[in-house]
Amino acid sequence: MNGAGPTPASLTGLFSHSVRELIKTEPLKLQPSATLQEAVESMRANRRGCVLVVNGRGKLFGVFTERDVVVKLSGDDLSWRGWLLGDCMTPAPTTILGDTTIGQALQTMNEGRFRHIPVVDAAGCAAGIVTIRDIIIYLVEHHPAAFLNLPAAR
Amino acid sequence: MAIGTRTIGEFISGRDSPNVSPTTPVQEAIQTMRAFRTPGVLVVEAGVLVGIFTEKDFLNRVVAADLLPGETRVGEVMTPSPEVLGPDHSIALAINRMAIGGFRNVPIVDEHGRPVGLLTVRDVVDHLADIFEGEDEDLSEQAGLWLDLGVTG
Repeated sequence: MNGAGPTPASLTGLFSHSVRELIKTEPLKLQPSATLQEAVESMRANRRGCVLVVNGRGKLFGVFTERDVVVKLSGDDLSWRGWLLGDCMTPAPTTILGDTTIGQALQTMNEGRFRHIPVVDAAGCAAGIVTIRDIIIYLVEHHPAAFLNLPAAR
Repeated sequence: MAIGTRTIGEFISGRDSPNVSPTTPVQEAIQTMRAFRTPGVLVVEAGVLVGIFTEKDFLNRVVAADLLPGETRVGEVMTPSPEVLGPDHSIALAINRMAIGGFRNVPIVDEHGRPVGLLTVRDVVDHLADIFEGEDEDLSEQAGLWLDLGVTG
């Protein structure tokens, strides 16, 4: 039993609703001069998988994600706490605008294999983050017949 | 046929499971994670799934605790007894569990608890993107609608 599934008409919502609807919290923002210690503690305390790296005016320079933690901190070098975020971030990430549709955001994330995508305003200032999880939650909330009324897992 | 009705088995068949053992050093588990391009690995002992080790576990239990990745064993920092699904479950159920449970990785096991693969959010995104791009013949009716809307670029 798989349930009825959403109709094609209801799926078009992904392309008529903007990512602005998904941004419910202020993103974590740190400057490039912050240390990895600050970044890691901020991610843990706020239970987030991504920090936006911005300058004093909020302009986005890079992102630092759990993936970067895995790639850059898997050596046995405990001096990482003093390393600078600006040296460890992924610079110049792909970004989207607040009026990008959820469907377009999903396609961009699929093509680039990103799990997080920063949202910026027209001036390039960081306005938020959209995650794959945000989009999955949106789908489940908007298509309860397909995703919620399911038989329990064994 | 509607979105989400395919079985998990269709997504994971024909690919290897990213397995490590509880005694594998964290550093090696991360190499497995990177080789498989998954955000987690399955921890398997005597053929049975005993845990999962994810990027989040690495951040919270290894990096933040100042443990050395080369000298820490996965069994000490894994998440034991993770929630699992079976290959016959629908992808919709996996999407449900990812949304509600907040998982990025769902271990897939057979009826004896033997791991058969790892389903990740990446698989879900691939599935949705296939529908958008009209590559999924079972969903051609929906795909046609996407094309009509001019959204596939």
